This record gives sequence, structure tokens and C-alpha cells, in this order.
Amino acid sequence: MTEDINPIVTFSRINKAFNKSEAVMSTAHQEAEAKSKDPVEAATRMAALGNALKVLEAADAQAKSKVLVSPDDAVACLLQTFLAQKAVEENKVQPLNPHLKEAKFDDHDVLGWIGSFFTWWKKIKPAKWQTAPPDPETIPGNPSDFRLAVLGDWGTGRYGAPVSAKSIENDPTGYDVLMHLGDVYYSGDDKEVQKQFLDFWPKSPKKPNAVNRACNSNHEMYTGGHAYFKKTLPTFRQKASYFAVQNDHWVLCGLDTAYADKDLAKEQVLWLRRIVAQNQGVRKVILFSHHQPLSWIEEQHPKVVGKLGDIITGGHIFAWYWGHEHRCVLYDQHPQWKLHGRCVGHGGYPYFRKDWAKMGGTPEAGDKNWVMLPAKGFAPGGRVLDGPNPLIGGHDDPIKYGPQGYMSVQFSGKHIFETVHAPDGTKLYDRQLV
Amino acid sequence: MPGDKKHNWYLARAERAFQNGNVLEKVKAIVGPNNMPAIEQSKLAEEALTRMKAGKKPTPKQLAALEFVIRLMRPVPLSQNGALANLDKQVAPSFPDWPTFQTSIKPYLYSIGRIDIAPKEGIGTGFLVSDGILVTNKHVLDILSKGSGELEKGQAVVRFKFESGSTDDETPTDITGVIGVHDELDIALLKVNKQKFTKTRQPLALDTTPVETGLAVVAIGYPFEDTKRNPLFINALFSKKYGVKRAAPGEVSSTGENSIYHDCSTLGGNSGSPILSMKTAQVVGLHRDGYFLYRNEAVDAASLNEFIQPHL
Repeated sequence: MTEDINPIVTFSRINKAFNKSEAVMSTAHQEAEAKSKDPVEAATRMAALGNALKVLEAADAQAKSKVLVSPDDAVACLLQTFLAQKAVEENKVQPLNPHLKEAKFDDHDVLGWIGSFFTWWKKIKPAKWQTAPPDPETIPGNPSDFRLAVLGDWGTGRYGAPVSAKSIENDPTGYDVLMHLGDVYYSGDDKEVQKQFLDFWPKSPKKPNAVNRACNSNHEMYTGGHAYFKKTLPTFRQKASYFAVQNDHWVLCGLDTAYADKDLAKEQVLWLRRIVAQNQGVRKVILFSHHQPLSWIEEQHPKVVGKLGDIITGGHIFAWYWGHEHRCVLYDQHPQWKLHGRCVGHGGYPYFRKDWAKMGGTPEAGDKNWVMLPAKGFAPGGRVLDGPNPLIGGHDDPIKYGPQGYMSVQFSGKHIFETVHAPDGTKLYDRQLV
Repeated sequence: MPGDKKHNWYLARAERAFQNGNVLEKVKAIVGPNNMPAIEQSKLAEEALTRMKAGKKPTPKQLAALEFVIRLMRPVPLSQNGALANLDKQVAPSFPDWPTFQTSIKPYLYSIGRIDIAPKEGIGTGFLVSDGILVTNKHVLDILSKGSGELEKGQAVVRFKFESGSTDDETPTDITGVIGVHDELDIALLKVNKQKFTKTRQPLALDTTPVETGLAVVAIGYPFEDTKRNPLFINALFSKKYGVKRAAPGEVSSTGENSIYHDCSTLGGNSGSPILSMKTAQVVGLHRDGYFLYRNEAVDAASLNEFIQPHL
């Protein structure tokens, strides 16, 4: 299956193609001008292209073009998607290592392609917004118990992603709900969504009526979210990019924090407020989103938390699972908001380990997989998954990259048992949350 | 990917320029604490830059503010009567070595000239590294020679004055041939008539020690109007005075293989400009090209020196 997925597009290759000859950037500027209505638009496209090259260079500083790198920059990711597709179309693909293919192109290729890039980029507009049903759907099966599998930042089709998918598929009990927290790289276009997401997404053979749900994300929105809205949602029988499913004790609500970047677009807040009010004293509410409400490392997204207001500050949310940050973090219960925050963004993106000691982290006694961290700002203390990533072996030094995997949550009546799994399904942490 | 040195440097520079208050403080210090529009300008400029980097058109107000900030932070002072103009007091604190540079560059200013297709069609910039060798870009030579790569007397000249506000009474110096060309690094060494050097006019010296990111530098040359590659801001920055000697202060933004990258405000005619350390007035690079709101590129002095040495 990996034969079909796009090759990776390295900064090394982009840098050589764009900066070897003045003609490439000069032609890019001419094309930007030719494809733009006015000088400001042309200048904007030129500035964005230049910035994309800078962002890619910075993002590749550690990876050194040995693994997939996909920064949070729309134009950089669009350029990578475009170059990958063109390279495939023109059969310019070569092995980067025994496990990975890269797009092979040079300045001559880019000179011929750059005009089409501007034409494609200019045409990208956001997909049509879809409205969710007002009431949550019921999770099929036992109304009291169900199992949930959560994957985040998983849409690479490589590294730990397919391994985790197989483990979920082969789970002896099976899962009733399978949840993706968003991100299909580079920019979630039709082919990437099909080949790196839908083709690999785990089945649940033990539970044929399992519910599949996917959060929208910044990477899918770089191409306007068209593949997400038109391929992923119909495949998952999901009516909108925000959603709710429930059983007798719990209601799981997914939020779209990407249609409007790091914000809650349209009617989502009113929709959630109604669900929270209806379930007061009946069901506990758990949120899922791509972007984080709090973090030790990345910025907090004030628009999301600010719009939710008293839904958050009033202690109405039991837990919140998010991705985006490419790591696995289990925060302690928030002292004011009372919610349990979980970053499950270690599904498939090859991320670099941090020097947690510099942030006050200490290895958990007796468990080398986890580092304990103190509270920082809005973020309570907690634990972060650490260690080498053996699935990077053959690409780069595994010691530089953090571990990947997924989470599972067992809902039994009013109780929750959560487990962090390595990609092969091995339990790295489990405990009863309530 | 957050965490690496270069990324942090870019962030630090962006913050210095637009976010963490330094610009605001400078602007505030200049226009006075009661002049709130100046603060608004910087905030709007930051918004403009953020939008443009994301490929979104800024509003006219944001764009005007960005133009204001760029003009403020990256001016292009004129050379007049063999001396560089003072920096505006608003930007002077960003370049504390400028007054020293104004003095130390004086003996070299008239060794930097405008290269013309004879008789007077400005093409680029060149500078003397000895009494018979003018350094410029290969792509400048390509234009002068109409692609042949060869020159003979009468085809091209270099004018070492050509300043704004004064008559260029000096006879232009003939470019009489081509000494050497480096295709990959875009260097051309042109043969010129022997020059008379004195204490007050010297060939430029190269500083081949590796440069640090953040080094204050100056690009001296003859920028020409270039609306294709620089669709915005140029009239505000250059006041419609093109093709005359100017000095653009800026910083080294990063380094690469045989290259340094800088953010001095340059235009097409700056091809072949020396990039000078503001501290020493020695050449740290040969400007070769630049891209709007992205970066300017120069051959580093070590690579340039390696190419020049056999010809001296």
C-alpha cells in the first residue's frame, strides 16, 4: 500500500531547485504577477512563497531532509503537495532510503511547473460548511459500555501510523468508536486523504457498526478542506465537521477548530451550549478537537477557549482530547476548569524529542516511558510520553524522535479506563480516570 | 519546527522588529508618547506582514503601515559629495555603528561605481579590489556583453561618482575586458583602466572571516526602479530617485553554502554591490539577487576571495 502514497518532498530538494538558479524565483515572481489582479496580490503571493521557503528551512533544521516534515504553514504545505503530485505525474520519484521515496525534481522542473502552482493555489477556496444535527447520535450496541480508539496527527501513511492502525484492527475486543483528531499531510488534498488516511484507517472487524469520526484540522484546510468534507465525512457517515455521539452516561462532542483557524466557526458554540445544557446531571461531556485549549509548549488558542467561556470555566467538560502538537501528554485535572486534558498527537508525524529537563521535567520513577512535568501557565502538571522511536529506524536516528501510538478509552457505565498504547498495541500507561 | 537555532533567530528578529515592543518603543520615542497613531502603525504593519506571509492580502491601512515601518527600519540613504547621509534619528538607534561607518567608508566610496552600457544606460554595480579589477555579477556581464561573456573597450563604462544632487564631472572609466567568470557563484571580474589610489581613495578590502547572523551590514550600489520584482514600497523608500549611489543598512539574516543572506533594501541595479560590514567597512559579500519580502543573497567574501586571488 505504501507504494501508492505520495513521495515525500524534502527541503533539501526544494532549496536546490529554488535557490540554485536566479531564474526560478524570478520566474516565480513573473508568474505571481501574471496570475494576480493587482500589485498587492502579486506582492502577497511573492511574500508568502518566500516565507514558505523560510519556514520549510527552519522546520527541516533538525530532520535534515531524512523524514517527512510538514510545518504549520499553508503555502509551504501546498508547495509540498503540489511538488509531490507533479513528481508522481512525471515519474520523478526515487528512493530516499529503503523505506521511503522522495520527489526528485530540479530547477528545470520547477521552472516548468511554477506557473501551474500559482494557478492551483489561487483557485483554492474553503469548502462549503455543513451543519450538524442538533442532537447527538447514539453509539450502537450496549447503551452503557463502549470502547473508543483515538488517533491524532496520524495522516502520514508512514512510521507508526499503519502499525497503530493494524493494532486497533486486530484488537481482540474491538472498538465501538474510532476517532481521528485531524491532520493529513501535507495539505490534505484528495490523493493524500485517500492514500494516507482513508486507505489506512483501521477497520473494526469485531464491531461492524462502529462509529468513525474525524476532526477537521489546519493541514486539511490548507487545500480548503474539500477532501475532508467531500471524502472523509461521507466515508465516515459523518454529517458535519463538528459532531456528537452518546450513550447513556457520556456524550462525545467533536469541534472544528480549523475551518476558522484556531477558532470556532459558525454555530458551533450555540450547538455545544445546548448539548451541555441538555445533559447537565445526565451525561458527562468530553470534547475532541484538533487544536489545543492549553499546552506547556505551544500557544493557547484564546478564541476557542474564550468563545466557550463558562462551558469551560464552569467545569462542564469532563475531558478534552486534542492533537496538533505531535506528542502524547496526559495533563492532571485542571484545578479551575476541572477537565482532564489529553494531547494525543503522536499518531504518525515524526516529531523531535524535547529536552524536558529544561522545562523542569523529571523521569517518572520506575517507568522510563514517561516524564513528569510541573504546571505552566494555564496548563496543569502532568506526564509526557518520551523515549526513542524505533519506527524511525532506517530513516534517521530513532533516538532523536519521540514515540508514536494511540489511546484507547473504555467507558463502563459512569467509569472511564484510559490506556496509552505503543503502535504495536503494547500498554504504556493505563488507569481508571473516574 | 520550533526549537532550532535558526528558527529561534528568525523569531527573535521578527519579535525585535514587530512584536516585543522594541519597534513600538522606538516609534513611540520618536513621535512622542501622545502620538498613538505611531503605535497603531506598528501593530498594523505586523498584521500586514502576517497576512502577506500567509498569502492573504492585507488591507490598505495595514499595507500603508507596513510601508511606514519598512521605510523606518530599512532606509536607503543617499551618497552625496563622497559622504553618506545620516540615518533618520528614528532608525539610528538600530544601527549604532552607522556614524563610524560613515567615516570609515569614505576612502572606498568612489571605488564603487555604476556600470553602464556605453554611453549611459545603467545596468548594475561594481567595485574595485585592485587598481585594474572591478568585481560585479556574471549576470551583469551577460547583459553588458549581450550574452557573449566578452567585452572590449567602448562597450561598457563604470562611473564611480554618479551621486544625487551633484554633477558627475568625472570621465567614465572604460571597461576593457573580462578577467574571469564564475558561473555558479555569479561572479565576474572585469578589467578596467588603472586607477589612481590615494589615502582618500582606496580599493575595497575583503574580510573573509565567517559572518555571524545579525551582523549589521550595508549594501552600496545603484538601485534602479524595479516594479516587477518589488511591486510595493519602492517609491516610498527611494523617493523616485533611482540609479544614483545609495547605501542600504540591514542585517545578515542567515548564511549558507558560499552565501550570506541579508535584508538591506536593494533593487535590480544593486547587482554587483559590495556588502560591507558596518563595523569594519570591509567587504563581507557580493550581492547577487534578492526576492521581495524574502531575502537578499550574496556570495560570501571567502568564496569571492578564493576566486579573485589568482587574478591579483
